[in-house]
Amino acid sequence: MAVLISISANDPRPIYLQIVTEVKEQIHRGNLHPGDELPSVRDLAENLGVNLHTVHRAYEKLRDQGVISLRLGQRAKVAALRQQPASREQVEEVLVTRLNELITEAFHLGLSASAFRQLVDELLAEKYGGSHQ
Amino acid sequence: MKLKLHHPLWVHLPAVILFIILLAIIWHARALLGSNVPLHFGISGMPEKSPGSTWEAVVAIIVSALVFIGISIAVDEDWARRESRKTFNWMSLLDECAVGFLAAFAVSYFSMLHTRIYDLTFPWPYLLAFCGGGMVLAVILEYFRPWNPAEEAALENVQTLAEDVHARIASGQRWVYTETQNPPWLSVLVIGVGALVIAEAIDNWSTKPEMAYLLLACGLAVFLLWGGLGISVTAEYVTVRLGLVGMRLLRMKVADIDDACCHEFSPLRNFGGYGIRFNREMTAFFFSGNRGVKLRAKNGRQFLIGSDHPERLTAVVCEAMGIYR
Repeated sequence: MAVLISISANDPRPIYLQIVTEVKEQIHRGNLHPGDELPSVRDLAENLGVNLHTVHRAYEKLRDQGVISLRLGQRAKVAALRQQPASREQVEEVLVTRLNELITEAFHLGLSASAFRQLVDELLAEKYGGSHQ
Repeated sequence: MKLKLHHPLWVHLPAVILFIILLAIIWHARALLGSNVPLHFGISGMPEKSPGSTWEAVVAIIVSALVFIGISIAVDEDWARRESRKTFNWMSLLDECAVGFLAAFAVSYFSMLHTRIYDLTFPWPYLLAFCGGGMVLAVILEYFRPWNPAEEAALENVQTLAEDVHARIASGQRWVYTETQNPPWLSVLVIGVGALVIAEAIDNWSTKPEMAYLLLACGLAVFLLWGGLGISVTAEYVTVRLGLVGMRLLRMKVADIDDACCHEFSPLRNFGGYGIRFNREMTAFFFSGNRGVKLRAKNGRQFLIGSDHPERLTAVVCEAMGIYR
């Protein structure tokens, strides 16, 4: 297991959410695989210079989302990847609200619907190498 | 999920044969089972403590043999997965050596019990036959073992990671790169040895409480190894921690590092095994594989940190040092 996690003081998001995003990103990039161990809460907190509770909160959030598993006396482990797409309710809860916010932001930045769609397509192509169909 | 083994199990055949011989020796001595006999002997071969049941000796011998075979399978598999070319793995002789030793002593012990003359002699002929024979056979099998290259053994391209770390440093983020070395054999060893020591403590509880407390402390100390080695690199420090409580083995300022490079070594030849090791050149921390990162401090001291991804670890340390390779 090897993982690179960073936080930024300039990022407006709370630190625990930055850690959540970093772990998810590492899994998405293939640097972390199911069964891989994450650093202990104390190690990560000490190395990032944040409070133990902040890292613990991030790990709990990841556990609640089914991304990692937490067991007493063991390091956090990356959970098995989801075999089936999430239910409509879960998608609504996690994605739709944020997508709506982004659409609104795009409107205020003067992006048309097609320009916004093109931007999303470009980003998806960047992540999946053009095979995101 | 199908488990793909890179180290064939038939290489452990001599140990399994020795284990069957060991069971046959115990079966042959079954008439003695249950009787009260001496269990502990001094260096002179004379009994030291009050007698106990033969079952205690039999269970200890069988469990020890199985633990050593299990550890050997795990160590050899771990070794094979990291081989970038076929190399002779001397650690593969561990189980033949241990089970042969146990079988030889079992013969000597049960012979002694039969004669009722309680003077345990060192069983040189049986050691030669069991350990020697088993190890010769194991050397031949290890020599002819096929090499199944693992994908991860190939040298890694770490350019992307180095650029990623570089970008994070440049943008002023706080970052940490972490790795763990926690091979399966370590868990087997911790549970096996820890349980044996604690069982011995319970056995001594009523007769020798001081010894029981000492054994219990040792058994619990063994459990502290659970979790293996944790390595972390930040912009300021390289840290190596051990086990469940994260005991700090090394904390080195990045500013104090003179050089960092990938290093290939022989665990047995260079350091005499796995764990926390020392030789004339350096202090080493590793629990698996034969590769790591060698750090040379500005004061001349050298440290070797075992790593499953030494190229990545080296790249990260170099980026933290400000060396762009």
